[in-house]
Amino acid sequence: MVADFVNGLTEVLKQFGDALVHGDLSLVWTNEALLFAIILAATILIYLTLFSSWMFWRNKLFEESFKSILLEIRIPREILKSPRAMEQVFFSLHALRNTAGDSGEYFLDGEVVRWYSLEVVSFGGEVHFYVRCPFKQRNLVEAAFLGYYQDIELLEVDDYSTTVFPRTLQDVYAQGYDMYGAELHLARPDAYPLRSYVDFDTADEAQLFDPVTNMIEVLSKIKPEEMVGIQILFYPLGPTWRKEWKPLVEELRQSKQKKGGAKTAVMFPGGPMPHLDIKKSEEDEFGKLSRAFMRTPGETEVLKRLEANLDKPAFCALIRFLYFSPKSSYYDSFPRRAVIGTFNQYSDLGSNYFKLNYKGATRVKWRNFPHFFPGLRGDARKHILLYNYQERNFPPEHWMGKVLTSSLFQWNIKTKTFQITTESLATIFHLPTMPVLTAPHIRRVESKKGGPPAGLPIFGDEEKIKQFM
Amino acid sequence: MEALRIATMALVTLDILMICGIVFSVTKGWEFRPKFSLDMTRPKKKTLTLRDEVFKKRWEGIVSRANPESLESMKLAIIDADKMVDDALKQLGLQGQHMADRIEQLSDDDYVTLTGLWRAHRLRNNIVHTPGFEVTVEHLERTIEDFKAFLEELQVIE
Repeated sequence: MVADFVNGLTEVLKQFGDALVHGDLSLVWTNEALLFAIILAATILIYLTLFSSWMFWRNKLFEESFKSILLEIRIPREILKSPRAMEQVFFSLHALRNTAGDSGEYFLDGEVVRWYSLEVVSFGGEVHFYVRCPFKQRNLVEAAFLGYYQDIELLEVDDYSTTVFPRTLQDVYAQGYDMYGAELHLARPDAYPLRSYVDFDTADEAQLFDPVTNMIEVLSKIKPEEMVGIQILFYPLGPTWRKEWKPLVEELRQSKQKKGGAKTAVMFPGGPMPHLDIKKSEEDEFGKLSRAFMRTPGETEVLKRLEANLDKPAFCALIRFLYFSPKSSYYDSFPRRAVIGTFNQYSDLGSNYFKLNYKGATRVKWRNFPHFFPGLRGDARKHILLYNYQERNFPPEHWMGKVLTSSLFQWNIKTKTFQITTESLATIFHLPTMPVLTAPHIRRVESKKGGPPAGLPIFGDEEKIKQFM
Repeated sequence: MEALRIATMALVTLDILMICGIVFSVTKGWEFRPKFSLDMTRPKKKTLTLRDEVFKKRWEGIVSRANPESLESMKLAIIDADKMVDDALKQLGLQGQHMADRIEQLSDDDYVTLTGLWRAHRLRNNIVHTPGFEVTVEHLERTIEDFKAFLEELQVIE
């Protein structure tokens, strides 16, 4: 049966080949089997297109259905919590993961995993922290934060990215600004961890420091008329994310040494000298052990940290930043070097580090491929980045979505997301801890908070008291 | 072979249906597309600029309709001119319920012709609201000059 089908197919393809060679396409119309095969192929293509454009539309409708709100994180004078508290916040957020439960939710509702955004923004040197979450999850997100940071305030604010930042690229130029935008991604496979906050933690107060200081310092050093926005978008990944990295772990477990032992057999005319033909059997009881010894201490360390990293829940994340500056003082080395520098304090070249996604960054030169229309392509990149920043977009999941959100000069396919564990995420974004408290760049909450004493009498008639029951 | 032909026809029908589906969902998805334009450097929103064509034409229309021999046409021209100044003030971004509220937000120091505008606006109010209000053609001509002076100072017309 199968053989018949394969034979029939090869026959049909042969005929099609003949038709092409002879330039006589009438063969196609006269041979019904061939026509059927071609139409079948076309049907599959059309189905895939339909599927992806349909899913893009439904996904977008779902994304619109959960209105998101922006909460400003107001920070008190001192936070005694280490980044470990932030990691706990991420654990709490991770538990809010939603997925499409059945095909109806997937195809009709277009359900996608809801995502969050943590943002650090500097308006002319004044640094603000924001968290953006779906409107309905506001209570849960507040609970996650306030559970570990009791003294912060979360205030609902207007979206600065559409009110303070220019709304469109035309507005950017109309206001006399120029902008730079780019995205960061992990340079090595995502399973490798970044340096963690644990490495910075120490009991000795004199040696205590917090790398987030550097981010705040950099952001506060911009000129009064400049603006920088950094957003870290993330959504929780399921528990199976680590499975995809199993092969990597296996590979690292194996030593780089050649398996099967040394080939020291000396060749003589007539064959190797028998007693020098060393054969290492697979069952050698010291084989594995000796391979473990062959790893350098560095390799062992990396493997250890990688495996520890894979044990944590992870997020799919995306880092994007924008820089606005008046054309007269525009200097794009600032964002290109300084912002990425703040993130690469956590780099470990043997393990992982951040890299600028140059293919989507707004600096376009005619020297670089494809050489034409550098201005238009740069503008299109700025446009797409500004749009994606304001919409807090992850790249569309389906390819028709990518096509539909692309400009003629810049396809919206350059964004790279990466997987990052709670620990690494807490390291790159946490609320500034104790050592940062002297920095004058953040507007702070000036009072300490405490709950009311228990057993306070409540005044009011029964109707009112009922509200509190 | 008959079965194959039927299958082909069925596939073609399916294709046509699915292409309709693609057209439908692409149209729907198009709304979520960022608004691209080739020339991003030029602001799209038209701002009030010197020698703005629209205002220039409108003012010329008002002047051509004002016939000094007919008192009624002069009165109508005054009302039109007043409305045009009001629109210009609105485009400047001045808020308020009435035109007077908008004029109040400007100051004498910035606009030397503001007194003339107040005079002209009051005259227009009298024409509209006071029954039997009597006015000479010369007075109306001077009022139109007042409006013109203010529009010139705003750089709406030349």
